[in-house]
Amino acid sequence: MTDLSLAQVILGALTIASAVFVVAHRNPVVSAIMLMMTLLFTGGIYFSLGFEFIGAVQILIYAGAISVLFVFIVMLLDLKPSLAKLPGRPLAWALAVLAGVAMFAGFLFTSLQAVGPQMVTESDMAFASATAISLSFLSKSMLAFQVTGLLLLAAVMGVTVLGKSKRTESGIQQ
Amino acid sequence: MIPSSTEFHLALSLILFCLGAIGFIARGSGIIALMCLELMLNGVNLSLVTFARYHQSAEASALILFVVLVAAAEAAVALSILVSLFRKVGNVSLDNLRSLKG
Repeated sequence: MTDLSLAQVILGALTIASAVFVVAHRNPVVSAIMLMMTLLFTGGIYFSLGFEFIGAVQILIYAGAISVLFVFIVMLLDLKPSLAKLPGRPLAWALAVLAGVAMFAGFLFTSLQAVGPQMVTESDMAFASATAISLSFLSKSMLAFQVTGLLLLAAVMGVTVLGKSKRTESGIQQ
Repeated sequence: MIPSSTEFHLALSLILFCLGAIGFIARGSGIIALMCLELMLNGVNLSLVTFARYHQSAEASALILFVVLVAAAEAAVALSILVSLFRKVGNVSLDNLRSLKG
């Protein structure tokens, strides 16, 4: 008996498939679109878990802004598909897969020990609503909230400065 | 043995994180490395959602939003650094950046 639904399993499988395409495809445009699909399916998983507000924020910000930014950058830099069947060096792939599998096994073992097989009793999910999150922002997480505003300001300033094209001495824009 | 939803989503978040880590190490292109970084952040976010549901905590839900916001800011800055690098070098391959290698 489990509280896992078929929709969650299907969404999980689709997320993993999209993530494999992000990592292993040789065309960076396909990688960017597959990243958008992965983020959309993860938003779907959040919806299936009862986190409607966070799922909507995920789709708005991640799939709606960050993925589009990635596609813009790929188009701006005019990145061509890599010529090899599997891009990257084979030795790096072998070592990375080895390290990744070892990491996965270790993390899975320790985290399943911490959680155990208990199922979540059906509750009213009031802690995941926008009301509860806003109340947390305005009381316990107030400092983090304000600092995040400053972080976004710093990011905007940084992007503006880094994005400026330089002028050479004779005034020609590079 | 069918896993409970907590175990399943934890395993899913770990798979996403490890796939992102594998791609980050193995691919030599800077833009793909940044995409794998977003994948890793997303995996961690999913584990946060799982734990928020397990412990029924509103502060964890707020933390999920903070992770999304920080990821967005970091993606913007990292992409602008990548564009500056491209303007200087002409490609986004990370294999050619060896001038600091000892």
